[in-house]
Amino acid sequence: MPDIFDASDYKKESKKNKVSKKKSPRKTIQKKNFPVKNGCKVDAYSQTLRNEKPTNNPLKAFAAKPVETEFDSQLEGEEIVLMLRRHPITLFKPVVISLIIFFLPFLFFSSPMLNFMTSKLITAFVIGWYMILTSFVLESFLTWFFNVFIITDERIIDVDFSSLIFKNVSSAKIDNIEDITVATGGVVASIVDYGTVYIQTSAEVPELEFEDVPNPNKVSKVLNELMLEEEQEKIEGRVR
Amino acid sequence: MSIFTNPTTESLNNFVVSIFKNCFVIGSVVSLIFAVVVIRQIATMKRTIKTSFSPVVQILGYLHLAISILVFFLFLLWL
Repeated sequence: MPDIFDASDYKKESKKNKVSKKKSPRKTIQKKNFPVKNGCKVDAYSQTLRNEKPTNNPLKAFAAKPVETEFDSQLEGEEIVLMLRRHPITLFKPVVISLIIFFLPFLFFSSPMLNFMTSKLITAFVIGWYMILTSFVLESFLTWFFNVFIITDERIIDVDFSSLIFKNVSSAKIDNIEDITVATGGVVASIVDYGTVYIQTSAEVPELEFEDVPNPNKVSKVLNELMLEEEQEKIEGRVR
Repeated sequence: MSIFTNPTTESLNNFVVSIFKNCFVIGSVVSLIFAVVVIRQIATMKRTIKTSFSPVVQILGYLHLAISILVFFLFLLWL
């Protein structure tokens, strides 16, 4: 016998289905929570930095999650995720100049140019010459050491120490980044992998340049990950 | 000055040597000013970026200043 359609049974079934539908989890793209190593919250959303170990060496040109490093305008809870300097290969020119300055007096003394000078003056000349060399080496090192680019989980900061007299600190929020361009040119830059990262922003400073930094593609990737995280924070209402 | 009244080889030589002496002293003064600027700049930058290497940089700066002072007095008194 054919089953007689009972409307009450259908209603019960549909109710059951509705209940079961409610219980079933929604298909959403869930953010994978990776374990936060060494207390760095950036590891939770940056795959690039997750593979990097915290840097203890303060002289490193590519310092991911640098230890014992702070900057004066750092906000509470703001974390430095990347600190960059110019690639050490860019110090090649000052090193060559230093070597020339170092060996030049030997050339002078081998020639009869300084014969008219007394021994006292020659000693003073040597002392003065190496004093110039010391100053040049120190100035070159300081310019390299303090010329840093800092990427935090909230901002990008460009600290320019172009000479001993000029200091320029520019910063922009990650939300304000509009465009990132990586430029690598030249044989040496391609071999040792360094280049310039141009960051266009909608902030007061229209463009920030991270000049001759190591692993420019990695830097760009980190910035993209941070931008995505900022967007995610905005959507979820976690904006500071 | 004897070079203008009695221009001999010896007086000419002394004149050139005295110019060199003055140049060395002026150079050491410039070096001293540079060393002071370096110290000031290191202090400013140390405030801007604090790293574990900053104290070492400051020591280097002070060492440079000490050498500059030493060279200045050496040129001033010894030459």
